[in-house]
Amino acid sequence: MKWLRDLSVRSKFSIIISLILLILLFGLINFWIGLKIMSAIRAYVGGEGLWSKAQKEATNNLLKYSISFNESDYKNYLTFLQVPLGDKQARLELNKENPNIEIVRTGFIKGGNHSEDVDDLIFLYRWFRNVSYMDIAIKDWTQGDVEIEELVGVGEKIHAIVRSSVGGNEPILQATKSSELVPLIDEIYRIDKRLTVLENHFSATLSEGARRIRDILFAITVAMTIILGSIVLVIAIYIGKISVRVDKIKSEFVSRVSHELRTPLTAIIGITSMILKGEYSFRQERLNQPLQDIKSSSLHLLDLVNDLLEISRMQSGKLKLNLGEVNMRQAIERNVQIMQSLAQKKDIKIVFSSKEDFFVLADLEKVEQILYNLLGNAIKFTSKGKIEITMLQKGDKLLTIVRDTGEGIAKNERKRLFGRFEQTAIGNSSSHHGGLGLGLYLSRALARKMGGDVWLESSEVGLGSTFAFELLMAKTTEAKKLQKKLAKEFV
Amino acid sequence: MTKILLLIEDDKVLSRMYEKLLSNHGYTIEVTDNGEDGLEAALRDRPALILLDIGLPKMDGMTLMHKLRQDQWGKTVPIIILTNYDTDDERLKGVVEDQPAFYLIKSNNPPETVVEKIKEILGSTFQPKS
Repeated sequence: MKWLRDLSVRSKFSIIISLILLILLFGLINFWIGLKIMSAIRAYVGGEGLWSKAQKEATNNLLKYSISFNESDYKNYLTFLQVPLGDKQARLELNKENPNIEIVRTGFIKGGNHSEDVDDLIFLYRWFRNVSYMDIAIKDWTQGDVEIEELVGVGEKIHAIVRSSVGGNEPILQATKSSELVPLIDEIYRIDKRLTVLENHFSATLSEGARRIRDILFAITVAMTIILGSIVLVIAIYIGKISVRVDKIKSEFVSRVSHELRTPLTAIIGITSMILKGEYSFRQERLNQPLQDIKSSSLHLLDLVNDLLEISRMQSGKLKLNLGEVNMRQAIERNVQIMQSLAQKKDIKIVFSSKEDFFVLADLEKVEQILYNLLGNAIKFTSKGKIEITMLQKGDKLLTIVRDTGEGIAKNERKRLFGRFEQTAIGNSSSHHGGLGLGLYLSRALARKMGGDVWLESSEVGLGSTFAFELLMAKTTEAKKLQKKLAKEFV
Repeated sequence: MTKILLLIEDDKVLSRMYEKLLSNHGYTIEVTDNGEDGLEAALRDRPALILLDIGLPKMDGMTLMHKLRQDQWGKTVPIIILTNYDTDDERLKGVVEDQPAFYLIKSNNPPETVVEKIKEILGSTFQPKS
């Protein structure tokens, strides 16, 4: 779960929103399929009604014909027979691997089905033919068609017998024909009886399936509602917690910022008003120190404002990098030179003796900013001893190690060391060292933007800390990837 | 006899400024740049007044004042809090209980106000309630 905690709030929300959209999409699909299945089952049950009715009518007309010998009864029988035969045409076509939908459609329409139901009928047959309820119903239907075939056979026989008597009026002949028809009429009754059983079973099976699907859909809907409800609840709690935390951090940050800005302002206003009041002698050498103090306070103020602007730029994604090949040895040497006077004042030695050139892909200005910050921290937190800088190539990356013999960082402060505002929140007066505490946050963010990183390698209270600063070596595959990525971002 | 004032302030520029200002007005200033040294200096040298910053290394101003008030001498010494924290800041919670003589926000008060306050307090018969 560590990776989850490390995600930014924006990424967490993106994940949650995607999750909700996914669940909603699943819900919609589920709802649509459910409706389609229910509608198809309704159409099949309705279709079975039409099928049974037509079959009964066909049977009755055939029976009537076998008594009346009236050809119009036989024609009626044939007409009603078209309904089950149409459905059969659709079924046989649907059994093929690549059915011709037009043949299926005309079959179902012949079966008396509504044209708007045809798509649902096809959908259920093709996608659910192996599902138990549908499988059983199809078997009933197939068996029904076998029975219809038999009925057709019986019908043809009856028709042949009746036709052979056309024109003859002798009562004896009539009686003979009728006695020939008797076993066929019995067969019609038997077929009808078997068909009634199949028809009832077909509808009952599908209805049972419909009830089952209703239960499943209900369960899915309930589960989805619970999941969605829980997610929304968790989000609400999370937002509540965050907003309380953000408010606290914000007010602490504002208080810290105003305190930090006031300190150099106090000096600038105080010293200038003292000069104006004649508290200092107007001789140049007497004014040197106060003017130096005004200058350094102004520069400090500028640093603070620049840090704040950089943070704001980074948050709004407007930070631009000017990537190029940077000679790390030279960059470190320049920084050591700048910091040397500050270190000497505290009697700290800065040791950097590398003569080897390493080229990294980076923004020189940002690299110097990071080095300035790491060295500045090392000097600030070290009261005696030395600060040692070394470079180390590790595959495609260059590590710059800054090791000091300072006061070290307590375990409970390490976690928040690289925080944005958290660090300033730690800034209780007992660990007061001035500054906004944004330096490490900015350094890490800048390094990561350049494909590298900044981290605390080790630290021991009273003995010192070691920070590592990693960048991509120039001309490596990783470096080329970074160039491409950043080029895309700033188009 | 010049009165000794103790300034406990970790910002070098500011301590230099206040030192110059107060010595111009005839005070002798002792300066420390952290809370621990400040407390030690106060108890050892017993200054006439303490100018105390709040955000300090090693021991913050609030703790220092609280410890000082436990001491027989320390409980009556006038303390001017010189800080850039606002009065409603979390770090200053409970500041009244230790009865500072005055509370000054550095950036909002010109140096002469500090001098005026010191004169006012040292000239008066300031006695914190015990």
